[in-house]
Amino acid sequence: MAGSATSWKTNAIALNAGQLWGSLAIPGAAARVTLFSDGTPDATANPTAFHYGATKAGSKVSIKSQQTKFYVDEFRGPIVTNIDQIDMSLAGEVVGVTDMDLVTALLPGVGTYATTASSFKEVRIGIKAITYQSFALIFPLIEDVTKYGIVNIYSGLNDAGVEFTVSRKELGFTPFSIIGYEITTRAVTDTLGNYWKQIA
Amino acid sequence: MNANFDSLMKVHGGDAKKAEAAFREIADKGGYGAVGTGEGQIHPLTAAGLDLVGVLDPNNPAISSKDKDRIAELAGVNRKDAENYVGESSASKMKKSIQ
Repeated sequence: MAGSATSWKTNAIALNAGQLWGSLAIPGAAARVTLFSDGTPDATANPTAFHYGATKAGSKVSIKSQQTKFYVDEFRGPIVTNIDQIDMSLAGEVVGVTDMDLVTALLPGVGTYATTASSFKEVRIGIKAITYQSFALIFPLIEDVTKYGIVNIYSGLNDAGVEFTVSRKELGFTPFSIIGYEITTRAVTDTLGNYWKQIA
Repeated sequence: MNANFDSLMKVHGGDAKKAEAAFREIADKGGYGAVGTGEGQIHPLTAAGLDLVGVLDPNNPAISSKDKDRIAELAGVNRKDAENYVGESSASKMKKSIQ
């Protein structure tokens, strides 16, 4: 008889600032977003990569399923379950509220970047076609800061709009909530996104 | 190491039909998902396009060598460029939003 090995996982913790990127290229089967060695998306593979900038207090990752439990009269506990919903999202608050590119990116289907002169930048608000984006939250790992953890939503939208305070006493920020939408035509195990880390 | 409509237009001599057909075939063979304008599909005009590095990686077991050859041919890239790929940082090359 012998005890079991412990595994405290104190190196496998998230305790570094991350970077939120959007407008990324979609990775294919058994592939992942291509990163450069500095942890940014590779600029050749991701020619439209867009950095969402600083956040007020980091980003929250959420990957959840909704399970429905089924019961029968003869037993008191659930006998079987079914996953009837999957959600993947990234949420937080960005502070670059006067960056018109950022504001446009936060307003899918609503905001149109419409600068036509060199003297101003403008986002016009109205209805337009919704454009989905691939998003990634990239953060250096505690176990090796030259390696990165990546949460990638293949096709997502911000559904929190833009909402910020202009004040002398409070830093203006706007919440974001990037919701993943399934690319239903991908392999069923890989339709929403992935979470991975570099190990070599 | 990216395929989007604009890059495929250049590869296919400015022929929009050929470029869109190439985009569809790359998406299909690379397991990206189906191309279309409906829900659950990849819009054919998405500027961000498809990341080819991981799909053409010689260690990617999900894509056959034959399909990797075809994807590289359609995208106008060299398969060997995906081996030991180094790339470039987005930190100084960030583009504006596609919105």
